Order: sequence, then structure tokens, then C-alpha cells
Amino acid sequence: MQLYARPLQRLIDALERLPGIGPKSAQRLALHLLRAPADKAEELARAILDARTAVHQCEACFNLSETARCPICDDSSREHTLLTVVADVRDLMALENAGDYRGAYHVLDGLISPMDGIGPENLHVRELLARLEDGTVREVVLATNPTVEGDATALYLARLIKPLGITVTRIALGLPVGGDLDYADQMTILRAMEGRTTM
Amino acid sequence: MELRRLQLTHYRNYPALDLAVGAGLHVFSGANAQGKTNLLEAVYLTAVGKSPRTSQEGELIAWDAELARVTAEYASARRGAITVEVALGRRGAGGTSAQKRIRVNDTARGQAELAGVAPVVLFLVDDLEIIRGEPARRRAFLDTDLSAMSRTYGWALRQYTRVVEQRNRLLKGMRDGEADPAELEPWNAQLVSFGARVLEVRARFVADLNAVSGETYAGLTASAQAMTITYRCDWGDPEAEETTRDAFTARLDAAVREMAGEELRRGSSLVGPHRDDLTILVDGKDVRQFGSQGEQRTAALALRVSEFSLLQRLFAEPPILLLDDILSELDRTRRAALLAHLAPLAQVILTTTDVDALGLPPHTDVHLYHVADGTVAPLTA
Ligand SMILES: Nc1ncnc2c1ncn2[C@@H]1O[C@H](COP(=O)(O)OP(=O)(O)OP(=O)(O)O)[C@@H](O)[C@H]1O
Ligand SMILES: [Mg+2]
Ligand SMILES: [Zn+2]
Repeated sequence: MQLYARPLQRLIDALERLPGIGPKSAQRLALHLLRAPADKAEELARAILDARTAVHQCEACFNLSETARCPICDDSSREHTLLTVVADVRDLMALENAGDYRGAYHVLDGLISPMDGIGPENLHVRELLARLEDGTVREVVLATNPTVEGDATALYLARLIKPLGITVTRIALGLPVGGDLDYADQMTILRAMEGRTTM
Repeated sequence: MELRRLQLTHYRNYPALDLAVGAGLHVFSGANAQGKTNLLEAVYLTAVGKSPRTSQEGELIAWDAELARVTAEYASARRGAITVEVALGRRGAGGTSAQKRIRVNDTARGQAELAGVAPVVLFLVDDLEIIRGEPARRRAFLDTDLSAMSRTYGWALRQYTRVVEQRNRLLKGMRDGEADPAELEPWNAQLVSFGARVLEVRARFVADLNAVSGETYAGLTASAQAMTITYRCDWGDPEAEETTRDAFTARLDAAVREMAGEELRRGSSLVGPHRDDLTILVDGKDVRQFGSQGEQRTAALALRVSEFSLLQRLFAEPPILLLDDILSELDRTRRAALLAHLAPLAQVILTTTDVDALGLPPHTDVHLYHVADGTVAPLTA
């Protein structure tokens, strides 16, 4: 039995494949798009296509960018001696939205996870080491999540970077993404206590 | 700690139940398959956040329903009234998995946050396997107990387990020439740090358990026989005795280095708490190998009673005792001795198929109930 007109069904199916969208939301969005003025739907379709063609990875830091190098890498008012390593662009955005940070970034595009077949060679590690060669960067901040994969990636990078004479620091983000939200508060406090430094 | 009221809606074979209970000894009797164990399971669910019988939580929802709800009202001497509500919604039609929502005093909580909210000790017929079964069964005994007592233990254990899984996968990859040995170091470091956390807590627990178990066993058997429990690691320095986190860190670290070649050959992690075991001695003899059925049964009971004493100390009030049909395997004197020992200590909720065979202790606050086909009727004693 066919429940919806074929093109509508195709739209619902496509929406449902998006992260965080279940069957009910997909149906609601599809019906909304059908009822909205035609130019609204066209605008959305064009926005998706334009973003796909115009946005690619920054050749230096792997942030998403319209230009070959992203605005952060090209901003000479930022401190390029300070480099923060993150797992993905969402983490970069989170740090940027927080507002205080004025250094540069390097996006790994994932974390080391043998179970998922992801080793250092699948991440932008080689490119990171190449960036550190010219001596501009004096401190690398490892800002991967405090999960076992995030910690493994940070430990792996620290071992590679320290011998270069660059300061390596580690920050623990508040909530472990994909970690146990249940434990977050107490664990965050516990880790903060254990990671305390002398003044 | 006391259970005051239990309400079930579409839970297992209970369409609806509203049961008021008070202090004392509560005996739920009935024929097989009427819902006695289901009742204890429901109490345990509100206390620990999961079923002791299944991890497929859809099984807890009545077959003809989509949503089950269990509400338990507890009275704590220290913390006053506590209401725990667990709601389970079936995922997909006829599914065996469920979505779970836990509320404590009307505030949403995660399962791990229930640790210590309503301490209970559950005695099961299956406890015999802790004594007789594989090492994994004894590790599960430690891990279940410790996770219910401490949120940090549950967290460390999960991290550790994940590290071992990742590390095993990497070791296999290295053995097959797919991965670079330099990738192992971060997993070694985490195996050592989380492993030492797990070991430290387990060792302390076993020491505490030991401090009470000798006396407990002697008490249960009315003999001078003592039970001792030792935590056993078959890796690393066999002479090592110190049980601080630092000592375990050093021992793990050395063992990981020493075993590197063998681990690579086998493609598996051979060092750490996931390999450990408990040895339980009665009168100096390993009860797993040499104990009679009765001795093994008594050792299992002694473990649970010791657990009760520990929890009582930890939470500064007696936990609730839940006994599922465990008395039938004891002879009449031991049965009477056990009940006489436990009844004055705490609220006791027990199930049996044969109430006359219990040998109920006189002068105690005893309440009898009859369980039939998902209904409970109070009996006059
Ligand atoms: N999801 C469910 N919906 C309806 N009934 C269920 C469900 N799960 C189990 N049952 C029924 O509950 C009954 C088992 O209850 P329970 O295990 O509490 O028995 P019991 O009284 O402890 O019996 P025994 O003396 O044999 O241990 C069985 O008849 C089983 O079919
Ligand atoms: Mg039963
Ligand atoms: Zn860039």
C-alpha cells in the first residue's frame, strides 16, 4: 500500500536519514515544505546546493571555509603561536562561540578508535605535524573530549609533539560527547580535582 | 531503610497492584509462576535501576501493554521519604528493548544516580554460581555491588572496559601487521590508570567483606568455621601486597611491559582487573573445589549477609533484604537460624512456595501474603 504520493515519500525518506530526525519530524517537515510558499522551498534547496559546492575544508586547519584558507587562519590579529586541536568542526564552533579564544585551530576529523578502524593515519595528524615544523606555534592545546578515545588521541599527539620543544597542554571539556551524561557532573568535578595544578 | 508502598502498572504479570508494607518480615507465598519473583524484581528495579534477571527491559512490560510503571515509596531513617518511579516504554511493536525514565522525588535521574538512594541486598537461588561458577561470575558479583554503592566505580569500570575492548582490537591489528606499535602507548596508559582505580576499590571492598564474613559464616552454621575471601590477580608481581592506587599503578605498569610480547602474539589484553578472581576459603579450603553443596550454599548466603553488613555501615542504616526462594535448599534448622538472624536486623521481604516449611521465627513482626496470577492478598497469620 502506498501511503503518500511518490515524490512526497521520497522527501520524507530523505529527511528521515538526517541526524536527529525521526519519522514523525520528517513527515512534519515535508508537509511544511509542501505548504510553504514555493520560493521558500526553492531557497532551502538552493542553500543546500550552494553550501555543498562552495564550502570545503580549509587547506591549513580543516575548518569549513568558502576560501582556500579559512578566515581564522587568515586573520593576522589572532595569535598563531597558540594552536588548539579539536576532533571536529562542531568543537571548533563551540570554542569560537564561547568567544574568548584568540588562537588558531587544527581539526582532526575524528578520534583514534581501533574498534571503528580509525588510526592516526585516518586523521589529519600528518598535516598537524607539518604545520608545527616552521616554529611559529609555541603551544598546542589538546581539546579532544574526555572520553577514552579523546584521551588516547591526546596522549598519542602529546608523545609526538613534546619532542619538538613545543608546550603541550590538555583541556577537559565539560560534557563528554557520547559519554555518560549521568556521570558528567560528578566526574567533571572529580577530574578537575585530579587535574589541579600548583600555582 | 524501609519499603512503605509499591505500585505496579502493567509490570510483568501485574496489571495493577497497590501494596502497602511496613516494618518487619514480609512473606509472599504462592504456587510457581504466580509473580513472586516479579515482585522482588520490581523493588530491585527501583533501588538499583535495572532488573537482576534481564537486560532486555521490554520483557518487564506486560505483554499486552506498551508502558509499564513501578513506583516505590521508601522511608529512610536518615533522609526521610523517598519516592522512586521507573517508567518503561516499549521500543517498537513487540520489542524487547525499552526506553527507561527514572524519577526520584519527582526529579529525573540517571540510572547511575540511584546508587545509594535505596540500598537493598538481593538473595537469589542463582547466587550459588558466585561460588561455583566461572571467574567472570565472581567479577560480576563485585562489579554489580560496587556500581550500586558508588557512581565513580561504575564510571571507572565502564571506561576501563572500553579501553580493554579498544586495546584488544588494536593488538589484533598489530599482530596482523595493520597497526603501528606506537599506537599502543595511549591505551597502555589508560589501561593502567583506570585499571588501578578499579583494583583499588575492589581490593578495599574485599578487605571490608573479609572483616565481616568470617563471623557471618560461623554465625550461619553455628560453628567455629571461618570464611575468608581473597582477591587474586594472576598477573604482575605475585609478591605484591600493597593495595593503594599507586601500588596498583606501578604493578600494572610493570606487568603491561613484561607481557607486551605475549599480548601481541595472542592479540589480547592479558593484564588487569578483567582477568581477576576471588578465592573463597572455608576453614582454609577452597570452597569452590572442595565444598559440599550445602557448604557452597552457605558460603553464598554468607557473602550476601556480609554485603548487608557493609552496606549498613556505608549508608548508616540497614538496607532492605530481598530473599527470593533461597530458603528451600537449607535444612530446617539452618532455615530457622537464618531467619532468626536476619529478621531483627532489617525489613525483610521474602518469597516462598511453602510458607509452612519456613519455620518462621516466633515473636517477630510477620506479615503473610498470598500471590496468585499477578494479584496479592494479605493473609492473617
Ligand atoms: N512481560 C510479561 N507480561 C506478562 N506476564 C509475564 C511477563 N513476564 C513474565 N510473565 C509471567 O510471570 C510469571 C512468572 O512470574 P515469577 O517469575 O514472579 O514467578 P514466581 O511466582 O516467582 O514462580 P516460581 O515459584 O516458579 O519462582 C510467568 O507466568 C510469566 O509467564
Ligand atoms: Mg520465582
Ligand atoms: Zn583554517
